[in-house]
Amino acid sequence: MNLTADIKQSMRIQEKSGACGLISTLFSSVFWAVAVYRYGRMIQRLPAPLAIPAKIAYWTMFYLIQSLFGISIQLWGKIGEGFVIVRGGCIFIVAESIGRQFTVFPGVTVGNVRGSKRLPIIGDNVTLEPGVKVLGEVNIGNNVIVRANSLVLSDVPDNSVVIGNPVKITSTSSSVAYKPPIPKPAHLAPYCGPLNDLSETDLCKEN
Amino acid sequence: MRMTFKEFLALVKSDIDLKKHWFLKNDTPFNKNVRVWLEPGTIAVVVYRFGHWTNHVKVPILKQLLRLIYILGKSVVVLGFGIYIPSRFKMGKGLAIHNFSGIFIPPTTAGDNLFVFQNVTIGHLRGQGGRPPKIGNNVFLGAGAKILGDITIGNNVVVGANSLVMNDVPDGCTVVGVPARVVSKETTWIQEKLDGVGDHW
Repeated sequence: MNLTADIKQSMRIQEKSGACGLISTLFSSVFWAVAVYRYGRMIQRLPAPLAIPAKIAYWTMFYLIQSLFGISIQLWGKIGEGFVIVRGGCIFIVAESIGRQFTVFPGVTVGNVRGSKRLPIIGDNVTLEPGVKVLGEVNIGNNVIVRANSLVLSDVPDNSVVIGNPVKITSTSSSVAYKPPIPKPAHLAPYCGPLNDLSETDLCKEN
Repeated sequence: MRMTFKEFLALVKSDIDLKKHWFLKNDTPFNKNVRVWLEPGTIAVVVYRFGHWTNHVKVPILKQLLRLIYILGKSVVVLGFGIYIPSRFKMGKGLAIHNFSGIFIPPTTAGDNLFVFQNVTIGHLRGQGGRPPKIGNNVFLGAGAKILGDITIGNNVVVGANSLVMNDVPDGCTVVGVPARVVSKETTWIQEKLDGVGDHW
């Protein structure tokens, strides 16, 4: 199920395992935004008599989450499993389709722009860092990192790291593209450096 | 300068009309009459217009009561939606805020028809005497745009998403990038769309 995969991926990004990771995930505001999105997608196919109370509940929760946490994820497109929001605030996502293991940070906007015929299409294993805007008829490939405060108005190929306003490609051979570090045993100190540095090492390639 | 209650209502009506015309494309009765009032941006604009009107009320006790109501509404808008517009901000008719969160507008002046998206900051820079930017008519500020310093934004200006504007922008320009560069000097689509000429979507 999608939501289970979301919880697992969220625990993996937080580098917490077991009950500790589960509790810190379930009690975070951002997880509830994801949960309400999954619930809204689930009730779309319900028959009419059941759908009306379910939809009223959905819209109430949607507006509460919008105004309390500032996270607005619309039901238009499918988002694959492993969708993680790392802290909330000013997140607006409406896309044609988004792949698996999609990670967003605060201030990310995915949406349309004046004159665009369709919304963005985003592949698997994509990370949008804080303040990224992805607007208009854009295809983003698999394994992509978009660096902070970039503006994406053109297509991004697979396995690339892009930066700038509007974006330039800085690396196309990045096979890693934000694979978060695997959870470590409890007796080791937590890893505090940049998240994607560890993914270059052998430790993460096994995964 | 006095501002009557009728003028306040007319300004709110102009804001709502602008929002309907630009951001709600499928004109079902639900969208037109109910959904537009549920948007956080609309609530913020109405609260700002109300606060601006209370500045002009002269009756002593009524003014304090209205200010109290305004401050309650403003705290909901600031804490709940993250939209900060002081009541001393002066502008003509037509303010449309699309989406919410991270919007900061200082007490400055603007012309008619200002479009503001999420994460837009308009502010002064250190060392320039605290003078915020002045904004002209028909200005479109894309998501994440930052307008900083003692500058003047002309009429019919489009600022692209995530741009940083720190210099004057002349009339009819489209600017994009960090720092902003002029990419087009003949931007007319805002005025044309307001006049209802041509299909720009």
